[in-house]
Amino acid sequence: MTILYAVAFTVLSTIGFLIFYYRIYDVTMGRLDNELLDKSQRYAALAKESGLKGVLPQLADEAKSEDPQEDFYRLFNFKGDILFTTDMSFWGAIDKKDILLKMQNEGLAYFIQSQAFEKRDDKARMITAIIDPDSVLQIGESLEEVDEYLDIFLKLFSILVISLIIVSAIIGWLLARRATIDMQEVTETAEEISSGSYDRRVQVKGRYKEIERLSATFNSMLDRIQSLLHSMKEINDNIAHDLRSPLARIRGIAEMNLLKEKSIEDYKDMAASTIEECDTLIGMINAMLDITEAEAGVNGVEAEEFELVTLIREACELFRPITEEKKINLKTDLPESITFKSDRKKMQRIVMNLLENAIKYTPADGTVAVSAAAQNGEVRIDFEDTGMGISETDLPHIFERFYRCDRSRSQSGVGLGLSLVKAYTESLNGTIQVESTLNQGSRFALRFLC
Amino acid sequence: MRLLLVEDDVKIAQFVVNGLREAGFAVDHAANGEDGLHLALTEPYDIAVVDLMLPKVDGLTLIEEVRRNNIDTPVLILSAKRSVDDRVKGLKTGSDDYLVKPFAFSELLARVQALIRRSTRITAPSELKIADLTLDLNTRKVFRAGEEILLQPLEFSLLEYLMRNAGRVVSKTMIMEHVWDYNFSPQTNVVEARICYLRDKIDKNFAGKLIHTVRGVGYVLKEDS
Repeated sequence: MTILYAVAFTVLSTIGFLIFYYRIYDVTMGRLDNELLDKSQRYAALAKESGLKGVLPQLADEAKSEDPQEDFYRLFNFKGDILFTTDMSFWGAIDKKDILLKMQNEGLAYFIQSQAFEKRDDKARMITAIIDPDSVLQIGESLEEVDEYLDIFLKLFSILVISLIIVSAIIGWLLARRATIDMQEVTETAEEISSGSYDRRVQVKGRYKEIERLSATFNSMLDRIQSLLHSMKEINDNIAHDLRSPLARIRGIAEMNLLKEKSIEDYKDMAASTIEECDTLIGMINAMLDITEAEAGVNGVEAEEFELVTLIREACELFRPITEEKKINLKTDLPESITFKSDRKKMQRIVMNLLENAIKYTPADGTVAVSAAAQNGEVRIDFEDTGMGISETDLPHIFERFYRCDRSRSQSGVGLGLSLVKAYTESLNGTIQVESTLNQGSRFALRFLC
Repeated sequence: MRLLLVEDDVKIAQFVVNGLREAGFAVDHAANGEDGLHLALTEPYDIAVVDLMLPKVDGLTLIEEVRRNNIDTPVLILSAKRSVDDRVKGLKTGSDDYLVKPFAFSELLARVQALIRRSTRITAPSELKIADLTLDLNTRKVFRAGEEILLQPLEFSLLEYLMRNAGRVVSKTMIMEHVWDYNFSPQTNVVEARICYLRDKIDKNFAGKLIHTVRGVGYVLKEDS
């Protein structure tokens, strides 16, 4: 990673530098060219005004003021006769014909080029310009200065870039190394966890923000996994226990029947109790699947519009023989109508389960009250009983699968009813709350948005 | 009535075949999808009971194939898959009913007979009658030995269901589902309580019991033999 980082940095800074360098080169050359063009145009104007007679002394004057090693001036006609020249021994011969031919062919009034010389290392920027119909002026200026200037630039930049690369490589390496160490720690912890130490956690503080966030997320994921594992283990233990009991009963009765010759009535008894135990088991398995499906959100919610008050009245009516037998006062406080759009089957089951619980845990001569109302975009259904109540230690656990308070163990049931109610209520976007006082009664409150 | 059972579990097949034969059906049994399909395409059946997970040809393919050959024999799916998706898939391929394993035989029998009734389109009677008990579906009045018996709505629908299935055992689950439209059974035996009430009104003051309990299975309405 460090190498990748350094290479990327080097390539980018080199590209940046090259662009900058060529830009400077362009600007310098442009300025030089303009200067040369200016001069030739000045002479062209002079030639127009006063002919070659005016040009020559001016040219001689200007040439004198310049170093012949750095600049040269030549004036010649199309036949090739030299009319004026500075000392060309520093430069060597320059071919005139090719340039003139090229200019004539392309109809150019002037032509600027970089010219190399056999005698010299440096090049010259040279303009060849027609200043009057028969005369051609050629001015050259050595590029030595420009070259030197650019050379310094190049060196300076190279040093800068190289030192930048070195510094950035070192910093990059240090940064990456620290990040890698942190990452390595996360990886190591993950490895330890996958081999079974679910209580291991990654240290969060004192790291880069990104790694800190990763560590925190990683830890919270671990917390969730650990709690899931824990509840799974608990559920497993409970399932094992609750499945074993009916199976033990079935097996025991069957065995007893085989040990001795029994009457046909005994066999019928065995068959009947086997069916009853099986139905309990099937009910348990189905309830567990229902809870899991509701929690996982599979199968979705089949929303339909239905009359909630009718649904509650029907449920109460169904339990009427039970409440009459137990001498429980089943009171309802319901409005005329609440139309509700939701999953009717699930709602039916929620209401039935809560009502059944309330009746089951309320002793004779007690009261069970069901009330419902729709207001402020919310539907509430309350189940209140004067039953045995739930102790404070049990209260946080009553919605857990297979959780049964000690005092409820004497009653029939497998401890899935309230888990199912909660799972269904939440799958219908509702909430359930419970208040309870031991030996005085409980109140389950459902709230749904509508 | 000829019935085709396609089921690979030998023990389940055995008790279903025995039970259905006792109920008066002529049953052919195929232990895999290929044999089942062959029978379904070549023999005329009044109804077919098909498992979904079958060797060689699976149940859904079998049903699709049968429907493609324009055979409209009613089909009841028998499957251990219980999710709503599976049911919908099963019904979409052209089956008529879906029963989840494990199932009560009495429920299987009731559903098979309901499917046959539906396919043969027997017109619904306006009056149900067994022994000296009559139930008028139009006036919703019940008479036993000429004497009118007043029933509450829940009791009336329960009696109607028992009378429609007279002679057949119906389970508590079936009653919850078909009479009161609940697709589950509460722990508290609300069905039993209601049956008790009904017994008090129908049987108590008359000669000859009509409502019988079959322990562990359910209830049956029949003349005392």
